[in-house]
Amino acid sequence: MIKASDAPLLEVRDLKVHFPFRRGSLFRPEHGFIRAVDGVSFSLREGETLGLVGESGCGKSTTARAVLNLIPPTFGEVCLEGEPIAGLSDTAMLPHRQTMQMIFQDPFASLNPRMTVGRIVGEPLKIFRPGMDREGRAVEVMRLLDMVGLNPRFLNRYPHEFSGGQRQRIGIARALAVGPKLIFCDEPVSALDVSIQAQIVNLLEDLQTQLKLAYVFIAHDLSLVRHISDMVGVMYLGRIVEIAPADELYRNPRHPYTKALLSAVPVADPQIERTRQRIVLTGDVPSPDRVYPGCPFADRCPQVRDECRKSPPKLEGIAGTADVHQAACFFARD
Amino acid sequence: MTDAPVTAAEKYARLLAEAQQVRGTSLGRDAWRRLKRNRAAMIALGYLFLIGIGALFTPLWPLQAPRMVRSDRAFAAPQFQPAFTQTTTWIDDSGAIDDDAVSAAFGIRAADDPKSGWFDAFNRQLLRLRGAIFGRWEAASWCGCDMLGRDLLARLFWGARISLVVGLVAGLVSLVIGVSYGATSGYLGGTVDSLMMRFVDVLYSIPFIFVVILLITVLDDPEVKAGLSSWGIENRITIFFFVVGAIYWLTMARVVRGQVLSLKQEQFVEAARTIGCNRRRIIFLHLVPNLLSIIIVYLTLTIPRVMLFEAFLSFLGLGVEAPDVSWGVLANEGTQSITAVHIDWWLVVYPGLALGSTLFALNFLGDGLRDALDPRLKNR
Amino acid sequence: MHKPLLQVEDLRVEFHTDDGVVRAVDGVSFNVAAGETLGIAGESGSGKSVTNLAILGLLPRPPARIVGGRAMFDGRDLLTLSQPELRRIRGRRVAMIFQDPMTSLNPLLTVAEQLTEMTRLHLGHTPRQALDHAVTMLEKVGIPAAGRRVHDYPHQFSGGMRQRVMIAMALSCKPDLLIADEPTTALDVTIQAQILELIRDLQRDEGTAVVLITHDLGVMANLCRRVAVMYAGRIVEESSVDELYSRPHHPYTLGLLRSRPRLSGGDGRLRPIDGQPPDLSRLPSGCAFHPRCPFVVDRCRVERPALLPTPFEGRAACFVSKEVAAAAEVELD
Repeated sequence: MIKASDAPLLEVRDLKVHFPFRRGSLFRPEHGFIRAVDGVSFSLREGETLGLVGESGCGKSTTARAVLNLIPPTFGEVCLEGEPIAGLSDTAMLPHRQTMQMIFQDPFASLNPRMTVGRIVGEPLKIFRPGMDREGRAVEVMRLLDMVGLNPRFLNRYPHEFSGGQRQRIGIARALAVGPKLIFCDEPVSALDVSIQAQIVNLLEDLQTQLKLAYVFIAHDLSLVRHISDMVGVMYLGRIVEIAPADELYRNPRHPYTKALLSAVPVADPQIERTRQRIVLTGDVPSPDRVYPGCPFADRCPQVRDECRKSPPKLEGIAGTADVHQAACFFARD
Repeated sequence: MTDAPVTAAEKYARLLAEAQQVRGTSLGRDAWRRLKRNRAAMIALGYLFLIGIGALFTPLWPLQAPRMVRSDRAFAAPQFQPAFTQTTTWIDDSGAIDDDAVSAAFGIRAADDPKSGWFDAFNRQLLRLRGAIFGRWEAASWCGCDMLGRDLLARLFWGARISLVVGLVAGLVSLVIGVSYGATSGYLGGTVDSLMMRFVDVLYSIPFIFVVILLITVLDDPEVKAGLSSWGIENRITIFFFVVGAIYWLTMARVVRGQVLSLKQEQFVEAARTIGCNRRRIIFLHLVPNLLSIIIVYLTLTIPRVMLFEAFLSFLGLGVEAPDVSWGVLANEGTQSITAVHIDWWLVVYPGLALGSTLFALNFLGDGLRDALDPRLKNR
Repeated sequence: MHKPLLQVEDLRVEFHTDDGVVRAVDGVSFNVAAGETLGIAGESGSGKSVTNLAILGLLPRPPARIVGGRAMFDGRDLLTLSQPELRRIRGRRVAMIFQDPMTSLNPLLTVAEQLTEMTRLHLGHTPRQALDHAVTMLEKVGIPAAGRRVHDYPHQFSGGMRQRVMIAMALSCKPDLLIADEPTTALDVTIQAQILELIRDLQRDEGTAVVLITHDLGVMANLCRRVAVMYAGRIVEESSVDELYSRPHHPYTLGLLRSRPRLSGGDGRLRPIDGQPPDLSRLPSGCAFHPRCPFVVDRCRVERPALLPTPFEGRAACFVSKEVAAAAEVELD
């Protein structure tokens, strides 16, 4: 018998998002698909944090939007608390939005500049608790603002009167208003000043303990992802190439891309920096509009062998880790 | 324990009163602050305000009656000596007002007329007030008289009422239709957007002056007139508002659609979808308020165009019907009075000045508003 | 000791805005010796970019106004030069690269046209020579098939490649000084590593002095020998990179260093700097950092600390720098 708490809160299986495109001249058009997300699977339990890292264009943000049905997924299954939600219409999706929310990257663009903070944070309440009166809503908004560390007296101020960090707190309060169990954080601190980033990260951690939230934390900052995540997935060209518990992944990376990524991060310590050996990858992140017969990383991989170009490696458990550490590389064991 | 344990709800309810004291500076108030620093725009705004007040309270001012025909004063030149004269036609020494004379001289219906409405009552009240303040005094013909000896100054004021209302109402009609249509089309996108915009293209390609002429001819048909009359629509001018508004929305719709297309990529729209806002809410609560600057600026440019269009139609004899008067009608009469024998310059210059200065002011205001509302100039 | 190549003294820049006069740079002084790498760190609004734009004569005036100071380069004050004189120095003697390469490359001209224009203008190359030189430069910055790609337009290059083109362009006249404003911020980590390596190699081979402006302390540690930290328009600390990262004397530097999680993990709860970044139009009295400072004493609220030498060959603007350094030694280990 499976206990209810063991069932995953969110389960994503083989999610694909392909955008059709047309290019070339009018008379010789070329049709194809941009494979922004190309078979992503993961699951998440209550109160857990999954970090997704990868370079720009690897599909980490698109994954989040597809799970939230902001972009219709092309293929795959998404189960939230056991219910399939992939591709639901806006109306059918509405009740699930109470469970799943999102925090956005840009604190300046993600708040409507014409609305007061009270209206921004109160809007989800208006939608999900239509019975609530004005005053009740205002009180609830103030409670939320207090919870995210903002002065509740600033109910009637406008977003432009706040600094970046404070605006991000407003965005968090808005996400919390409906009482979600899972929040997608899409680069929530990358637009903030270094001295403010830690404030927001601490806030997210406090809220997690307090409200038993689960996070999908999307970022390109590897140090930060290690700090906040229980599990970390590394994405490359729309796929997860390696996924493992955070400490395990950083201590013992198996996929050559993860290794290169980790070695490329500059560390704020000049002594370490001088002695570090870097794996500097050649070339750029390839374009996701091609189909790769073999491993998509083969062209940049320092350890590439002939097999890599023939068939794509699957994401498989690494022996001795009880399958919690998985990598998509033929030579992950070596 | 002296303090009773306070529940969270009580604590916030107490803070709520305090929170109401803290008022943020909205973008609108910020823009107003910047507009105030733009002298040309403020002068324009003040001028428009004065004209508006002047037109609204026209019966209050000591002017001659706009419909009073005096053949002895036909084509009389502007005169300032004496500056004020006394009238005898509609008001007597004791200050009593003759309703029938007022109806003929001012076009204000008497109270016992079944067609008399709230606006007639409003005008009558003003006129009474005028009688109480100024008695029988009225301004001499400072701007001269027209071919029937009617005072041009008075007619300019009464004409302002119609010209401004035409501009304002038609502008607002175009705004409501254009913004809803454009925002919906832009936000829905895809095939719906293509279809809606092709429809606009089709309407664009119809030379609308013919549509207007056709419409107005149809409206002049006695049967149609009778029909409209049963709906309470007496005047061609009422129809005119809607016709013009219904034509000028096309450009507004295109402008708004273009803006929405770029605005809907913004993260706050995505955020609104994430918290479950439906389409209507996103369009009218999230997108349209952010287009306000564009809309207001565009409105200040549409109003002059509508006013010019009204003048043009009146030129063609399709606009305002006599004895009603508008600036366009006055300008038309003025140009007609120019002959090889004599030039009554005041009949052209004063209506032209009234029309021109108002259009100028609206354009200055539009420019100032654009600068004040432009977020690119913001240093945040 | 080298004679400094660039010597900035007491630079002051003001912006005239709706909210009044904003002092974006308030008495900044630093030296750059030939062949040296100086890092300037700071958050948005700290004045680090404005400082360098002012030196290069690239600030839009108005709203900006340079109200004081000197920037001596090769015996001449850059702040007093006319635009034509500045143009002769920019590109030839002083080059710059910016965060977004697309803003500095003309999208309507091929890379060849943009690269050769510089060398023909500044070095008097013939078209043939200039093209050869352009190809050599592109090869040097690691663009594959440079001979063919030199005729491409900027949009045909990816982000990392564009930044390489920018660097090739900046270095094609062998400048004495390269000012790099957040050169890798818009790039991915693996590309960033490539670009940093490239800048380091080029510097070693050509002996170019570099001023690197960044908010990323990791990038700074990777590339710089000497570092200045700016806060609210002033330099609050300056020292050698080893000193600064192991024994900072200013609480802001210490705060920055300990607020970041480490890649090696195991740092428990993060320790952010409290409060919000300062509003330049309403700076606090005394030391601008005092409302956020855990070491604050009464004096900080009324008096502004001067940038004074520390016992370790650095400079710090703090009344309690000794206590900060002592605390740092304990904490940053």
